[in-house]
Amino acid sequence: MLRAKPLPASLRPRKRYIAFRAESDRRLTRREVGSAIAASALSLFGETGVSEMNLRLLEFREDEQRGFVVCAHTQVLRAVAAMSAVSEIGGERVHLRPLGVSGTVRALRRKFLSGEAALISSEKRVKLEGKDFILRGTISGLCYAEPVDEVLRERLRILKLRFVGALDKELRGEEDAADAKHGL
Amino acid sequence: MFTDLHVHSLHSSGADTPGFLRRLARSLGVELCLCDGVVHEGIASGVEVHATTKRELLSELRRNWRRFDYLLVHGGNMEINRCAVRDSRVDALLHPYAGRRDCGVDTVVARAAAESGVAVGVELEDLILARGMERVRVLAHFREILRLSRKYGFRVLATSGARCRYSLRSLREAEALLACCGFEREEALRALTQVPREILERKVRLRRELSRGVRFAEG
Repeated sequence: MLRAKPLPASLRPRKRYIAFRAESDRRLTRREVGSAIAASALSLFGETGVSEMNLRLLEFREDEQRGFVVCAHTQVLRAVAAMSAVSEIGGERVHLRPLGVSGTVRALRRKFLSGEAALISSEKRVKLEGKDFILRGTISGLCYAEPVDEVLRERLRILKLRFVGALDKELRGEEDAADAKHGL
Repeated sequence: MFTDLHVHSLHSSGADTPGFLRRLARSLGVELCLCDGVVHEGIASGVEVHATTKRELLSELRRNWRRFDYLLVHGGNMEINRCAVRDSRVDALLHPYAGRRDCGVDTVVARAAAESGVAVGVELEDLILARGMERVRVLAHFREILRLSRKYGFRVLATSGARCRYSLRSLREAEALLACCGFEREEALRALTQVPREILERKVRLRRELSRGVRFAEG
């Protein structure tokens, strides 16, 4: 099939690339993130508005939960608003946190998409303020713990969350708790 | 820096510990203040007063206003909206539009808020969580509050209303969301940074006073 001749550089639409990190209590797929951004943009700005934005998800790395979108260079604020207005995917709370904006993909990768602390999975039983939790993961000292207490689980269900966020130093392992019991 | 006056932690209706939220907020460039009705050490602590009658509101204000760094009133009921903006102990009237068809700010509320210096608060969480026609209504309320603020000169405060880590927003995101409701850049920055700072500084100033208008001479 005959391909369209590329426009000269001076006539090509100017673009901005926005890197983001998807934050959620579960791993999101590219398809889910792409449709959530499109639905949010359509809901906020309508079909005419989105056609002016030229907003598309270009890349989403499911292992790192990071990616980037492209938009028209004058529509960065609207694109950020559309991503920021995504509140849930599949009935669970999420946040697509913008990391930065760049004019080229190469600069975007160098500045915002290189090097990320890895999530360390865990199944340890811990205590937080006297209540029992199961530690599910830690990333850069930020821990995600699942409560055993039914009242707290109900509160999380209402908030559409699975885990409580706590600092590693606030959680006490079972051994530490036993030490504390014996006054050590 | 965005100073977020309305964030709930595990100590009230939120899902994360104050330490977790503080570290997360720092990474986003947000100054965190917790509105749990509990005094947290090292974090500006406030309370959100929920009242159904004027009498109940006044009693809550009397009980709480010296204990916390700032005092917010949950609006919605027109009687509460009017009473809250007339009382200088209140720092901000939050979501006056809650559960209403109108924005909850009429000329009486607008004039009183401008005179007493009580800010009128809009919450990003209301905008983010709403869908369809409900979101349309929230956007219209934000626009109406902004329009009245331009006319009467009362201060508009913007908060996240976060109950979990995924509701915290950075300055850039908050500014982008407010821009959807017609906030100019300067207006958005004022609502997100300047007004909350003024609220926190006001309480520090009031605490130095022996009684209303009387304070220790400095130097």
